[in-house]
Order: sequence, then C-alpha cells, then structure tokens
Amino acid sequence: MSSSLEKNMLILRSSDGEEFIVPEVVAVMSKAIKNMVEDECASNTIPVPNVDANILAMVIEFCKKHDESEAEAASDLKTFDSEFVNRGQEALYDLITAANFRDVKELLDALCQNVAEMIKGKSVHHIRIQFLGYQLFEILTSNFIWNIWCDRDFD
Amino acid sequence: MANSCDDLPDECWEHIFNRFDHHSHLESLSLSSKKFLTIINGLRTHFTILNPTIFIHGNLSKLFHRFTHIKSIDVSSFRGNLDRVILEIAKSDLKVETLNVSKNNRLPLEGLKVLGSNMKSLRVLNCANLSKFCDIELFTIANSMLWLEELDISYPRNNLGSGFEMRRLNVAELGVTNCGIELLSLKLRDLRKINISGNPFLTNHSLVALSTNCVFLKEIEFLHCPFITHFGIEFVVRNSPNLCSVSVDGIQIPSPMYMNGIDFTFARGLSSVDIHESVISDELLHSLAKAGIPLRRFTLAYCSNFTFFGILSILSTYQSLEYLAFIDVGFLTDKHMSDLCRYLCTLITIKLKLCPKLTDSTFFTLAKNCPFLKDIDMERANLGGGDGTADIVKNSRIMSLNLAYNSNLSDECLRKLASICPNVELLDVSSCLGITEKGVAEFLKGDSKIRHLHINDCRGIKNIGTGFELPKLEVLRAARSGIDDEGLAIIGNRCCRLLNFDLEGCGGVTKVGLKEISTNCKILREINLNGCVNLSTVFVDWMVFSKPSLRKLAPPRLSLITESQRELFLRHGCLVCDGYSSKRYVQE
Repeated sequence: MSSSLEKNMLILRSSDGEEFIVPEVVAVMSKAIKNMVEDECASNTIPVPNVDANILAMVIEFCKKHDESEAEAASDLKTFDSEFVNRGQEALYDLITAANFRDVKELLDALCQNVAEMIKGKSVHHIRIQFLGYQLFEILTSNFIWNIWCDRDFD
Repeated sequence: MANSCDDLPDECWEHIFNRFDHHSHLESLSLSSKKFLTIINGLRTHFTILNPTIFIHGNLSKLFHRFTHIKSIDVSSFRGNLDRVILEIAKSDLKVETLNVSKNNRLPLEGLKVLGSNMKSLRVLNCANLSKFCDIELFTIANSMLWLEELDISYPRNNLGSGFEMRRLNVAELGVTNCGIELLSLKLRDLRKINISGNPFLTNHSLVALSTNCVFLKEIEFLHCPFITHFGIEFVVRNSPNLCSVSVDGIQIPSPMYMNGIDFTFARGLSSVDIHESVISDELLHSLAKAGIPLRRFTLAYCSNFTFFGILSILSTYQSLEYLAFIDVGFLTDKHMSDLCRYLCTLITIKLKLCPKLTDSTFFTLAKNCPFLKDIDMERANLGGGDGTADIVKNSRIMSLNLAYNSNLSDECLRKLASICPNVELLDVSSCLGITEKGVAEFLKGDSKIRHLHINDCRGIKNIGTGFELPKLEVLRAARSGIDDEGLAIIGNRCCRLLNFDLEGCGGVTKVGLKEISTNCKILREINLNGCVNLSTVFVDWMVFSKPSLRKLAPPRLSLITESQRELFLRHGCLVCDGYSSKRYVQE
C-alpha cells in the first residue's frame, strides 16, 4: 500500500484500526513519530496505540492547521487554538493523553492552558465535582479533613 | 461517565498545574484530593518564609518534609529569629540552590557555617541591603560556601556611628574592604556573578583580585563605589575572558590620564553594558562602537557630556540590541528617535524615562518600526504633547506599557495608544493627572487582555467604565485615585477574577462599595484600605470573616487593631498588616 503513496506521506493507524494518510511534515510534529521516522523504523504504517480514530483525527487536524499557518498571522492561529480546545472534558482528557504520549508540544501546551483556565478561581467543592467525579451528596455528607493551614501562604 | 483524576496520568496533571503563574491558584486544588496534593507538593520549587509562616506552622521542618523539591528560599521579609531559620534550612534534606537573606539585620555566622557544610547545592546567595555586613561576614561566606556562583553583597547599611566611635574601630569592622574581596576571590573560584555596589571602601584592587582569580566571572556590578576608577574598569574588561555584563558608574571622561576612554576591544563576549551617573564623552561611545562586541543590552542612565552622535554611532553599529534604556537623556527629541528607529529592528524592551522632549510621536514610531517590541517604558516623558500627525500602525506584540507621570497625557491620546496596542497586559498610567475613566476604558473594551492596571494618584478616574466582564484583570492599583462607591460597584461587576486591589487613601470608599467587591470578587487575595477615612475598623472584622480567600488586608488605621485581634485574623488565614507602600517602587 505504501508504494502507491507519494513519497512524503505517512500512514498512521489508530488503536481501533482506522488508517490516516498524512503528509510527513504534519506527522513529525509529534516528537515520537519524528524519532521513528529518523530511525527509519517507519517504512510502513505507523501504529498509534492508545489513541482511537476520533481523537487521532482531531490531533491531525490541529497539526495540519499549525503546519499550514506557520507563515500566517499568529493571532489567527490563536483563535483557532482557542476554538479547538473548547471541548468537553472527556475529549480534552483523551486529547491531552494523546498529545502527551505522542509528544506534540504545541497541542499539549494549548490543551493544558485551557484546563488550567478552567480550574483557575474554582473552589474546592467545584473542583471535586467537576474534575474528580464527586457527587454533590458525597461532598455534603462526608467529613473531609481540612488541612487548611498548609496552603495558606501570604506572599 | 463521571470524570476522575485517574483519567489523566500524573505527568499530564503536572503539565496543567505548571501553567499557573502563581501558586495561590493551587490552593483549592491541593485541598481537593490526595493525589493532587502529592503532585502539587512536588511542583513547588520556591518558598517565601514570613513571620506568619513560623507563627502558624511552629517550625519549618514540616514544610520542608512536604515540599521536597524546593530549590529557592526567600527570607528577605522575615523579621524574627533568623538564626533558627537558617539552621532549620541547613538541617533539612532539601537541595536548595538559591537563598535570599537580603534586607535582614545581620547574618547568623554560626548558622551560615552549618549551612555551608551541609548544603553543598547552594549556588546563589543574596545578601544585599543587610544592616550590618563587614569583612567578618564575608570571610564566613568565603570559608564555608566554596561552591557559590552568584553573590550579591550590595548596599549594606553599616551604621558608622559617630566620629568618636568610628575611631576605635578598624576599617574591617566598618564595612567590606579590599582584603575581604581578595580572600573571597581566592576561595570562590566558581564565581560567575557578583554585585559589590554600595561598598564605599572598595578600590580598584578589589576588581583586580576578582578579575584575576575568578576566571569564570561573567557579570559584575559596582555602582556607588567612589574609589573605583576607570583603571579598575579597564582591567576587568581586559582580563576577564568570560565577561558578558558590566554595570559601572562615576566614570569621569575625559580625565587627564584616559583621554581615549576605555578600550572595550578585549571583551569579546561583552553583551550588556550599563553606564550610570557618569560624565562620559562621545569618544567613549565611539570606542564602544568600534570594539565589535556582541552587544544586546545597553543602558545610559543619568549621564552627561555626550551628544546624539555618540548614541547614533552605538546604535548604528549594534543593530541587534534587545534592550535599550535611556534614562534622563534630556536632549533626545522625536526627530532623534525617528532617526534611530531604523537601527532598532530587534528591540524587545525600551525604556525612555525622564526624557521630557519625547512625545506620542516617538511612541507611534517605535510601535511602527520595532516589530518585536514587547515592553515600552516612557515614564515622565511628554506623551500627549505631540502634534499627533504621525501615522498609526497596530502592533500586536506590545504587552507592557509604563506611562506614569505623563502630565500631558489625555484621553484622546490614550484612545490612540489603545488602538495601536490591542494586546496590552500591563498598563501603568499612575500620576497622569490629565486622564479620566474614558481614556482608561479604551483599554478595557471588548476582548481586553489587561491583567495589571495601575491608576495610582489619578484623581480624575472615578471608575473603570461600564462594559463586558474583564476575566483577565488580576491586579488593580488605584491608590489615592478618585474611585468611590459607584466605581467600586462597577469594578465588582466587571472584575470577577481580581486578586489584588489597592485602594490606599481613597476617601470616597465606604462599606457600601466594598460589600460589592466582597460579594463579586470571589478570589480576592489582597486588599489595601490604608487611609480610607470613611471606613470603620469594625468593617475589617466583617471583611476577614466573610471572605475566606483574603490573605492580606491593610486596614484603614492599623493602630486601632490590637495585637490579639491580629492574631485572631491570622488564625482565620488573613494577615492584617501595614499598608504596603504603593508609591512607585524602584523598578529595574
């Protein structure tokens, strides 16, 4: 199959078996894939375990946009980034895991910044419900140990 | 499906937590789960020790056990038993690399010895501005901390006493001498950076010793040392092959011996030159230009006896400057700056303080011609005094504007500046008496990026104008401004993420307005109400107990609050203290 491809294209296979044909310049935005290409162990299809087709498609979309718009205005890219990361929490977690695992720095930075913004200024209860999967009744009924002083800095 | 923190590996959470710019954002996170607590404990690398830290925790070892990755400790604001703190640090298992003990009274010598022998990781020691620092302290440091790479012993406040007392002491008991510096230079062979400013007994001999013995020396600063002359400067420049940064003052050129100025040709790596309070000449600047060094940062502050041509020769030679500061260069005009602009293509930071002939057209020229410019400082210039004919080009990289003390600055001029710089994060228009809320509101329209807004002493500013929420605004310094209850209501409505609010000396502020702030600004950490005459002390109680996020509060009159009340507030998590001075602090 690789023979029918143009020279600088790569095939990525997601964990559920779907294949994506991607230009090499886009694929190597992932450091992990870059290393594989450089070590010449990527002659054929590159398996991307742990990442399903849905998420892989999103990652590729992000990388394509960043590759294309290198010359474009930075502000355009910023708007794209902020729209791209504006997703549900589950998709965000999957994307972060994928970006971390495949070492795509730009994507990881944008996603982490977004989650950080989500956390900023939230109360303990809020964080427990939104990020730790507590139910409201658990919070209201349980006796959490409040180790308040440890974190009260004054600087 | 319920989310849980196990959905993401620890490594990813670390990435996320590292995005916060202040550790206060981590407070509620570390309280919400054990896993987060463990991750966050490992992320903390800097720690500041204050009096309440000891008051609340009793001792520090608990904290050092918890934050095992601390690399840098600051005890500069601690007023208590420094000896004990230093010993606790010395006995901990931390690998501290940076220790700041500046601004304290005097150093505990025994503690320093133990610290030196236990903490081999220490590389940076800041002993600036101690109330006593003489040769004996320097000897202790030199003998026990042989691995130091950076040392700051600038501006000790050694009290010389009366003439009679002084006669009984020898010079080594009055301050740091050449002898001390020589020993230091022999012991600390790895020294890379040293600041010996403000030690009046030091002469060229010290520079010769440092330059000869410390071969790795990269940065040296020796302002306010009256006995250091250009012989010393020239020696350092010639003899330190690794030198990349030098700050000097008090040069008198031309002098009978050095008609030609200083020969910089030997300093192959010199990339930063700061000249302060000197009588220089165009020849010196020409010789600097001819030296062919890789100059990136250049500062001329409070100097005299040079002309535009000296500056021109430097800037036209070194066209890759990143940092340029002209402070108190009275003759600079807009025309000069537009001539110089073409050489400043790579500039990131520019400071043009106390240049009274520079107007807004200089600002427009800079914004147009310097594509990488991030930081513009035109304090005490003449913004608003220009004819306003220059063409306006948007510059989306500019992030920080310091325009304080521009008395001619008008709302109209601010409107233009706001349209040029859409991405400003820090705006300082303190003491600009000609502006009102209309001008400032231009920066707060639509998708405003402003994080810090300083409007101290602007009596014309009553509020910040109505509009959308400003989720980015974190610091608002409005000491002695015209802000009143109505203004506070608007601020409360718009600034939901405010962290730090300074209202010192705002007479129009009463509890009605502050209640708005207290209800709407959910994460407010610090508030300064010093000198707000229309607030009663009872209000402080209400504020502390109703706002658990508050960590620091300066009450209207501190003297009306008893020691036991302050302790009670502290146990509630809020430090009630003196109004920290919001007068303009000395910025680099």
